[in-house]
Amino acid sequence: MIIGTMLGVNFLALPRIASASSQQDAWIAVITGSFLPLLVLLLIERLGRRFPGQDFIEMSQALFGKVMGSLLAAILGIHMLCVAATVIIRFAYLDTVYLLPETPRSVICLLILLGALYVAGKGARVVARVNELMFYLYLPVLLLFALPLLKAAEYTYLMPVGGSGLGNIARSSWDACLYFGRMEFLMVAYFMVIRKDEVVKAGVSAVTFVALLYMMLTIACLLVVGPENLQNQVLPLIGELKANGFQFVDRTDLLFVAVWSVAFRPVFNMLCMCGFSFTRLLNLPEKRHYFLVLFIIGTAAYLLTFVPRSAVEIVIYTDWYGYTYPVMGLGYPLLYHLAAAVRGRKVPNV
Amino acid sequence: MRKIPRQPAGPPPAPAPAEKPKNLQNISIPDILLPESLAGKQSLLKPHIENSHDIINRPFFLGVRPPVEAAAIYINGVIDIDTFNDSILRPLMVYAEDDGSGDRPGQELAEYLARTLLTVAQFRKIDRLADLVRDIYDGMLMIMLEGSAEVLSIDIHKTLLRAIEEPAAERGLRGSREGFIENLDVNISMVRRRLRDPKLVVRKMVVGQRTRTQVGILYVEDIADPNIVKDIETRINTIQTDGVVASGIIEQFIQDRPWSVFYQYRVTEKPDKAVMQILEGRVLIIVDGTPTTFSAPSLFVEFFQSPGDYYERTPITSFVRILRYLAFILAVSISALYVALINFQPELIPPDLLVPIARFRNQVPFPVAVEVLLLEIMMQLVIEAGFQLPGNVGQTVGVVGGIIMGQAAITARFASPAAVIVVAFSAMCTFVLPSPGMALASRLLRLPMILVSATFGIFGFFLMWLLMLTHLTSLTSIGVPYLSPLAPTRYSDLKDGIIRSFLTAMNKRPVSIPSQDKVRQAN
Repeated sequence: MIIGTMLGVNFLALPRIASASSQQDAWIAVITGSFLPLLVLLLIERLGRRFPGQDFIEMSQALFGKVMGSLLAAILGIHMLCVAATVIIRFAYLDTVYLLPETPRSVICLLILLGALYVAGKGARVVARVNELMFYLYLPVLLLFALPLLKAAEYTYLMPVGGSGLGNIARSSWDACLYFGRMEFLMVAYFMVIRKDEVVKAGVSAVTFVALLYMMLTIACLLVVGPENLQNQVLPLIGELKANGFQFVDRTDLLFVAVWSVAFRPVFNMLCMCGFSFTRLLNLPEKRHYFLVLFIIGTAAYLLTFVPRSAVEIVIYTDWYGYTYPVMGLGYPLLYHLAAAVRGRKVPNV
Repeated sequence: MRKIPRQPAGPPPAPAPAEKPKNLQNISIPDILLPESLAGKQSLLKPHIENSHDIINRPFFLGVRPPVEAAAIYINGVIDIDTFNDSILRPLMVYAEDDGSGDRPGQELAEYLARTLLTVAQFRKIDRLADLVRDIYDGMLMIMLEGSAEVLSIDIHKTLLRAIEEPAAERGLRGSREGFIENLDVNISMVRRRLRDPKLVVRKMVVGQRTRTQVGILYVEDIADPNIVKDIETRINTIQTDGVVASGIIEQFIQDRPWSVFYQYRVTEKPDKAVMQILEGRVLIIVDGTPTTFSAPSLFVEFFQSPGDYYERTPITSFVRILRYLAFILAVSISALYVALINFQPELIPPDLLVPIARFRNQVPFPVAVEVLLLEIMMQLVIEAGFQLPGNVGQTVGVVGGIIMGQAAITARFASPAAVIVVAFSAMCTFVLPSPGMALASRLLRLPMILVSATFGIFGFFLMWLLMLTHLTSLTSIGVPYLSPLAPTRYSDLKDGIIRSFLTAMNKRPVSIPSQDKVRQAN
């Protein structure tokens, strides 16, 4: 689920972003950028251990009081809703450009949303299993599509290793770490996990996997066109697939986009967590009202997709929203830890 | 004169079948005790049998001094009349005289006669009107005596059986050729012969208030999960319907998700397959009157397996299994993919192939989606016609429908050759699937796939697959995740999933099926 939440569409632009400052060392920046989500993971796990048997809403209310706790939980819920909306917009944009140029973006957004609502409506367990299944289905797809790029590889593009300087690598690391975002969903998801002792292991494996995948794709893109030319491509991976695809399909890039077009796992993961958060927050019985809450959230997310009106606005708004990740992903667990430390043993059980 | 032993030689045979669920008991028959007088019993019984002219009431006297009035009641043609004459009527009328039976009071007489004179395997005593009526209609022979409130219910069914043959739908190159038949007891015996484990439990239940169909539940006591067994029994017990004539009815009553197109229980007519299912911790359900049994819980991957898989060599079996999965994917996808690519993304088709397709498509007056849908419906009708018609005629219809109509459609420019190939190929893929249920599901799924792909192109195509996989992931069979071992992933069970590992490597039972005894064989 962690992998599914991280891997949306944004990663297609990662090689360009990561190489903007660090040039040929972009792949190092990608690796170092993965330390932040690991830190977030550990913070959330430690937080969860402090409140065994409680869920996120209960923990919030126990730490900050009923009103403030509910407000903080609601803010995180709204944040997850906005994340879902931005991912929908990104996917819809990709689909409009490559697959369905004649179809209105609002229709594509609606289709993605309905698909995501169907998955999320099945509940957290099914969502987790769909993520698991999609991981195994998409892993060979990503590896397979990266392979043809190697035939045009020029290994000198990676030289000299570390030549861009530590400062540039650090700058790129900060940019790259935003692509490991959305870990804040664990604030809600952690409390649903039955085998909590495996969370760290699974989380570290997931982040490592995503980091390796990002690194592989970044290296593949660097090897083909080099760091300078990479800056001219909006979505480098797709651009390079177009030039260096399989021989039997003229448009490998189209094929990749077609396969990836339904990989909107962050949408249903976020909607699911958001749905559970608000159901609990409103103190509604899950079995009866979860889908209703989800439907309302979905409608809100759909309305948000109308905010950006052009492709430029989509990029601006979604990039801008990406910067909330350090606040929500890192700030929230830190705030909760701080509150727990201040209140010490006086934290009541809700 | 033959000497009849005074004491019974051994314990009486076990009382005859059927544990009666409460909800089925005595719906319109008063549950009252029977009187001692024969006339009283007959007058109570009369309203329940007077419209059934096939029920015989044979009065006779027990050969004791003084003679005791008695009556035998049975359904004509259901009991074995030779056994009735030789093993019941003759001893009661002739041999009872020297037996001292006449010295016994009425209440003990029925028990005494059954233990000393009646040479039949199964009987039971009943003393209630509801049981009396029900047993008559269950095909038992009833012996009613003057002066005894107890009636003997004797099981001497005459069974006309179909020969045991190889099931047409589950033919294999190796392995047993035997198939289940319509008789529950014979079917149970076929399982027993292959699974001689004293821990094999056979439970019988009665379902259907009017048909009173017997349902057998078989499992190995120390392998099957007791919770699953209990769940299945509860579900069957709560069925409140007037008639059950086939296992498919029970299956639909106890399934988790009735709206799904996917079968949630694996059916089989082969006892060897059934035994393998039981040994993996599943519960086998056999319904009297049907050769088709089913096992629960079932997994999606099972529908791509055949018993022959375990009799063949591992690489061959694995290759065949991969082919079956491929066939399922193609059966569901290829028509829709063709529509999506032609309509929306022709760039994905290699140019050398696209040119001839476009040339022929140009001559067809319909949009590609309509063309494929029409062909698809035509093909489905041909398949259905082939199933409905008997043997050779069905095959002829298939050939005529498939080849001649396809050729004619191309000549008349009703369809392009590529579309005919695609639709025919998807139909062929359907028949590769070893499970008729999965084949039917794939036939149905094709249609929405085509419609959505025609509207939203390849995006719609993949979206439909996502929804289908989500649906499969959400399904359960008696609470067990249907898509396991794929999702949730059970790595150890993948040995017998998409491929089949070496039998020597399958030391443990599937984790996906809850069981008590995990170990199947030693290392």
